[in-house]
Amino acid sequence: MIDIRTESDLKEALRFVGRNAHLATEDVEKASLLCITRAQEFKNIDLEFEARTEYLNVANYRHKPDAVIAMFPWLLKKCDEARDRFDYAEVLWAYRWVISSTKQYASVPKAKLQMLWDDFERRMWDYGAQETTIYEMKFYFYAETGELDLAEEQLRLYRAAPSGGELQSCPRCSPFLMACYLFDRGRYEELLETIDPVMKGLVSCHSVRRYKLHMAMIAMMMLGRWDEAEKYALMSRKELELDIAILFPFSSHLIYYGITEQFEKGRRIFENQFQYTLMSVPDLQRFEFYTGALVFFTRLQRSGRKNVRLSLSENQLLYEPSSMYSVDSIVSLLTEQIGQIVNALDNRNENDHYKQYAETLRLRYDHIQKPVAERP
Amino acid sequence: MNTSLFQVDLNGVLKVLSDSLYSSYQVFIRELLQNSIDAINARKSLEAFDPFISVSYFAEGENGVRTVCVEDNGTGLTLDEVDEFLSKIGSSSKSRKGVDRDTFIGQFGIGLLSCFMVSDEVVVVSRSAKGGDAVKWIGNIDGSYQKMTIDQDIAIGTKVFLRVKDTVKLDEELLEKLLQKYGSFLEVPIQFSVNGFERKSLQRQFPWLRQTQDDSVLRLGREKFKDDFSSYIPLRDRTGKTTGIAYIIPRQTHFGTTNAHSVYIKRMFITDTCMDLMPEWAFFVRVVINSENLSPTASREEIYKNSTLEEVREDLGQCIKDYLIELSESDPDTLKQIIQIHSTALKFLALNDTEFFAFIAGWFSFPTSEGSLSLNEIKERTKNILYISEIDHFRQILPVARANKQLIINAGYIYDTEILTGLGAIDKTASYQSIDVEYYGNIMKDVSIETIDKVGGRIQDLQYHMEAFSCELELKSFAPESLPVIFFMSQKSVLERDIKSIKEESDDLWAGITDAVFDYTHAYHSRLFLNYSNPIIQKLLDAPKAKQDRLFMETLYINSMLLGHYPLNNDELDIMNNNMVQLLEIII
Repeated sequence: MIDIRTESDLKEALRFVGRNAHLATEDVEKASLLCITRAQEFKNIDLEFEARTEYLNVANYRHKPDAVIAMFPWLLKKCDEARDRFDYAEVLWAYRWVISSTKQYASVPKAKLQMLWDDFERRMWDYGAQETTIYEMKFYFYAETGELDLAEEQLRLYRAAPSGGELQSCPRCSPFLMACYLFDRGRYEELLETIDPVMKGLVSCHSVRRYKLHMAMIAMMMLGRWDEAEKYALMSRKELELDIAILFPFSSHLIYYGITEQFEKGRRIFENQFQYTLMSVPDLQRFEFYTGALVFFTRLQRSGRKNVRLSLSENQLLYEPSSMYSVDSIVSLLTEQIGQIVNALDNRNENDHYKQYAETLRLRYDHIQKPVAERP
Repeated sequence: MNTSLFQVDLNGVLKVLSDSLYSSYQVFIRELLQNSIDAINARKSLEAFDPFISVSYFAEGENGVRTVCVEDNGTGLTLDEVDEFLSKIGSSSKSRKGVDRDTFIGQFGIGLLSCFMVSDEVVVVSRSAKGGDAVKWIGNIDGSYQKMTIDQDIAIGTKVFLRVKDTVKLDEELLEKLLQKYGSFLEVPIQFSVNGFERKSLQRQFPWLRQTQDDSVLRLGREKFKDDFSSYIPLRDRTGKTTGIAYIIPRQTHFGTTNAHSVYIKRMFITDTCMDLMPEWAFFVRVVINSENLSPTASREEIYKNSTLEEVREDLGQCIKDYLIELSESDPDTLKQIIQIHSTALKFLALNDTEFFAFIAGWFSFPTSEGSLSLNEIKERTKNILYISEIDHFRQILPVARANKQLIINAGYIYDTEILTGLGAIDKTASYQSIDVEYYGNIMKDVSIETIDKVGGRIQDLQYHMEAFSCELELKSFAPESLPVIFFMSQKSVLERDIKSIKEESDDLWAGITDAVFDYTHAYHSRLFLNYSNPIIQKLLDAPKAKQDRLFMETLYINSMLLGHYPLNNDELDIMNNNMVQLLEIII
């Protein structure tokens, strides 16, 4: 935190936030909020714009999509009021985050999602964004709303279009466009081929390693390459901080630690990450985390354990003052939660994609067993 | 297939040199001095001799033209070498295989070209230490040259003559300044003469290399950086090839300031604006170094960014850390003074260096409810260390803490919260607790059941007027009695309030999406602790329900927000103005 008494202090504070946003600490978030408050006090709209942009950046690093989405309309509105005064390209870039996250909330109705998408697409075309940017975003959009045929079509268009241009993903990352899709479909050989540069350390930025190495771990496990799976488990775990919500990669770790019976490691992840599922994280991410947790606790159940000690904070969904929890009850609770999220997402998407996907995942991991001699 | 040579347009090359490579025509003197020094070093490897460099300036030379002559008694050139090294751009005697490059400053073979920035003709007269006739080389701006042997009995060494162009600004004063700037620390003295009369001998020693103890180190820093330094840190890298001084800036510097440092390589001045020499955190020092292991870039106006520079940077940073650690024993008062001025930089450093953190954390001072105290002083007073991460919260509860004789730290300044949180993890001699206004709300004395029974209805009446602000009233009793209320709004509430306000100004699409994704967790955005020990609050609660309740509560709420440095939204501003008008009406 910085004592901000003048506009000069505020500019200094904004530089501090800008330099430290990637650290994703609570202090940086507090500092960025204070910057907004002070900019309002000074009635300096340019500094307020800068402060809100910085906040968006910090909130994105801290995996708070709800705050990003809720703050975003202010920036968009200011740009619409005075396009030349503010950095519209930066706002459009943030719009990508908004679009990416919004569809993951089942509470956002399909009609609103479509209106949002139309607005986004219109703005991108108006701005002169490359068609690849649109196809890429549409691909994610359809893939996550269960319209797989449409997603494949966007992928085909994406591959046929010339690359490059503003507002496009970093060229080093764009080859990984398919990774999540292949992971979800269980196409592990193709997945490993796609993320090979990350596995070899040729692409080493933190966010790419954070979101790809866990996939390598699961893919190796599913292909029976257990030593390599363990290697990527160690590498991936190093990229994940427990004190911010990183639900998708951690769900993979829960799966892996459950199947390899590394229960202490899995328990620690669950204790730290479960709290975030009770906050306003996207339903899709909650679904992913609960799916991983279900695999983990099912394996714990199969190992013969009836109870498990968990250090969880007080909350409505799961809390025992004694810290001792029945494994059966956790499994039931997770199954019920997954069912609710699947229904909500499918109802919103007007299909049964997630219902089928949840069943696919259950079957996919159910029979995977590490040979006894290879257990760590 | 025929192999041909590129044709080089000398005029074009010169334009590139003057426009892009060199920052100023004035560097010609550095290039000539450098050639002289390199020639002297080359001769030293062959024989023992007494080296000299002389620079002569003739204000009224032949036809009134200004002339500069730089002479040395270095190794000199043979006729073949003249061809090789003066007539081929990019060829340097110092870049040949088998030559110990560490001995030389230059090695790019472009230095002499810089002379064409000040003169249309460069004349070199030289006799080589290897023997043979003296030689003369005349280079012209159009790229042509002549070379010849001359039958003159001249001493071993080289003279370079430049006829200064009319358009070039150069006089004896400027030339002397340039010699001082570039060459005064060279190991060979420079004899400077004007119009044939010896003016002075220029040579200085780097003060940190002197054996005698005087204030010459500080004088150099003051002269270089025009700052009134009083403390400095000797610097030396792991090889001993880079040495120098870090001057501690005698006032607070803004976080992230990148200071310009002064660099000499092999005693030749390179730059006063080196930004990459020191670690990022060392923004409280300005540095002068002489290096034998760093390399200059081709322009010799910057240092080359390579792994040696990284090692030197790390070592010079370590010197600063070691010095501070040593100071804690030898001169703690000076250490305190340095920490007081440069706490931000040192806190940043500590947070990135565990060992340094463990040493220095106890020396840091923090603003507290009892004034500025070092952590060691705080621990002498309490083992339960309470700190507040937000300055506004600290300001609000300061009177309460003081009245309750409780020491609290204002950890709202940059890095203080992280320092105290970090201490909580490693310091087992005390407990560290982060608190906020709500903490005081929780530990403040509850009023009795009887009091609640008596005034509960009244509080409900007053609460009605606070609903519009999403502010919850809570009755407490606390010291000092003079304080009627304490206002609390958490960061989460600040965000929620802000989001709500954005939503209200958004269209249906965005408002709907915000509602769908954003979770408003707080029933109330803020809380107002009413102090039942305060006579005004007692009077308010004892009074019957009245028309003026709204006016009073709103004023109380807005005042407490302003005292807490919370921004008022448009509705609150309107209410404040309307209430002022109503108050005036009541008074009038």
